[in-house]
Amino acid sequence: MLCSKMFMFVLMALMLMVSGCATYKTRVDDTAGKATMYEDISSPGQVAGIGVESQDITSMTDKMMRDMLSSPALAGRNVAPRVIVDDSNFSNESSSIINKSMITERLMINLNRAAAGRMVFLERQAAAMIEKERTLKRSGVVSYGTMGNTAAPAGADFQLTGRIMSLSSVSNTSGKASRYHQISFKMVDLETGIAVWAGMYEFKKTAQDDIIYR
Amino acid sequence: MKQFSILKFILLLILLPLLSSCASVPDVPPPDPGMDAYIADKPQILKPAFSRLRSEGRRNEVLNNMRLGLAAYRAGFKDIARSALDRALQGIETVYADSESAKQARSLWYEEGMKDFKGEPYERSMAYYYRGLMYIEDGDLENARAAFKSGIIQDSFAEEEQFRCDFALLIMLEAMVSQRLGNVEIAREVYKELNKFRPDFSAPSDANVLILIESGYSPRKLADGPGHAELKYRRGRNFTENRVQLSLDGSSYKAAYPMEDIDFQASSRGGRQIDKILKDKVVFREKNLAMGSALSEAAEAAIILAPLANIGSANAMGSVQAVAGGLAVIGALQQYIAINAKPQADTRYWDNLPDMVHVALIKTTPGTHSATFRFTDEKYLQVPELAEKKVTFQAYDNKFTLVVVKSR
Repeated sequence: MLCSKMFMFVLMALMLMVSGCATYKTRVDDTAGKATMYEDISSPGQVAGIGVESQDITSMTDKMMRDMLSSPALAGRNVAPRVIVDDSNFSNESSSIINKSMITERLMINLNRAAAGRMVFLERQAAAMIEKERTLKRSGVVSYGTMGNTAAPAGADFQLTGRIMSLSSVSNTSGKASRYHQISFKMVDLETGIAVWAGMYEFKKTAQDDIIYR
Repeated sequence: MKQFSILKFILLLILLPLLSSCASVPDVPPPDPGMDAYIADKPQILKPAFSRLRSEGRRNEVLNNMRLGLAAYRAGFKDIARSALDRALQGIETVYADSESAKQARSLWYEEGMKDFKGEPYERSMAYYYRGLMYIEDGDLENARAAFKSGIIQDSFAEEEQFRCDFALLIMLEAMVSQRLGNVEIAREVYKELNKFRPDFSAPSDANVLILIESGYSPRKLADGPGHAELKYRRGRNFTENRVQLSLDGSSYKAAYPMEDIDFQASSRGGRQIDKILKDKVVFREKNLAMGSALSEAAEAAIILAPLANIGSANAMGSVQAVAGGLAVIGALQQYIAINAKPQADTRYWDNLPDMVHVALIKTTPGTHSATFRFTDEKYLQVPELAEKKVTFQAYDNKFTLVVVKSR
């Protein structure tokens, strides 16, 4: 009887040892994949950090768009002003690596759609393309378009300028990292230099990495 | 009864070979046609890096992307380098708040190396450094500066609202890029910061060529101390150069400024919080080993001494021996559990980093120029096995030229 109990002890010990061996992994990465799924661009995704992310870009551009459309100096004029909204005067001084065009393109496209003629947008970054076509038309290589000609490409009344700035802080004891972003937007009169509209978007994110990375 | 004994014997016979087979799992992976197909169209020089990236999976994804990105950058495969380093930075910036691998790395039964690799601060900073250099080469100075600033944050060590960092190379690059962008005030402030760490460094404010010379091999990580739970850094091996002289267009040799010692950056960070967890694992292991050993010894003594002591009937003596046998099994189990605790520190490291980075900021006339590099020891005696290197580059008035050279 006692002998059987002893045997059970030994058997259990061996089973434990054998089950330990079963955790061996081959060198080939055989992790199962995950099917693609769409995520809401206006909410934090499954992978998030403390930099500028999709939800920041969408809410920032939406807010700026609404603000600009409610500004009489911009959207309440009798003659729709010509506006340049691109990244040529939008500078990134922050510690977040970002493609600035993601902000200015979304802003311009949404403004263009929502303004419904209250503002006219110039695509100055396509100047070379426009100049090439104008030259071809005027040299007779191609015919004129159906909408007539102008003496020169349209001049602008306003241009968007802006800056992305950030202030980061790290606490080594808690492993917390936080980054405050301040993104400023100004619409500048290209004749007088007056900033007819200005807006700002701010956010601060804090995250704490797992203790094993601190 | 006899049949039962035979059954036990057979069971033991089945279990024992299973144990012995644990030791015979081959370490060399079998031929892998899938892998061969995957790396077939990759550049020859990068095939080993691609192979590791593919086979080592998510746990080493950041590490292998760092290795691949740097190898590709040096070999001139800039597109591969960009995407590999971008993936590495994505991994670095991901906040691991609730990850399974992080949980495992904290547990007693897994080594720290089970966690997804994000690198120590010097490795993360260097990933941003190389990505920043590529942004400079692409003419995107704003994102270059963002990369250098992010690298600085990785190295920061101060509390609360402010951060300080002594990664002079990144500070210098942030200052230089800010100057090129026309942010004079920012540049002045950052140069002031640099001056605290490198008071003898000066550079022409209108420099149009930046030469970065990398010497030696990467610092190494070693697991030391009881249970190999202490992470130690050692300077890379098999090189002696740690100074560089350069001659521009055949002029006399001048010393490049030794801006950053990567080994110093690695080894001067102090303790990590995970070290406390590893230390606790060592304590657990040692305590249980000692207790298990004591139980086994006591059981052994009881079994030996029971027949000699006058404890009554044979039945009583049998009981003592059975209890002793049980204690021996518990002791063995406790020792088994103890030796299965894994306190080893994570020694994976970015192994194709340099040991030092030297800097020369030059203002020169637009056109083609050549620079010759001589690699020396600290006393400026040329390292015999290293031939001089000559590099030709174009300088511009309105554009920054970046030249990166490696000693080996």
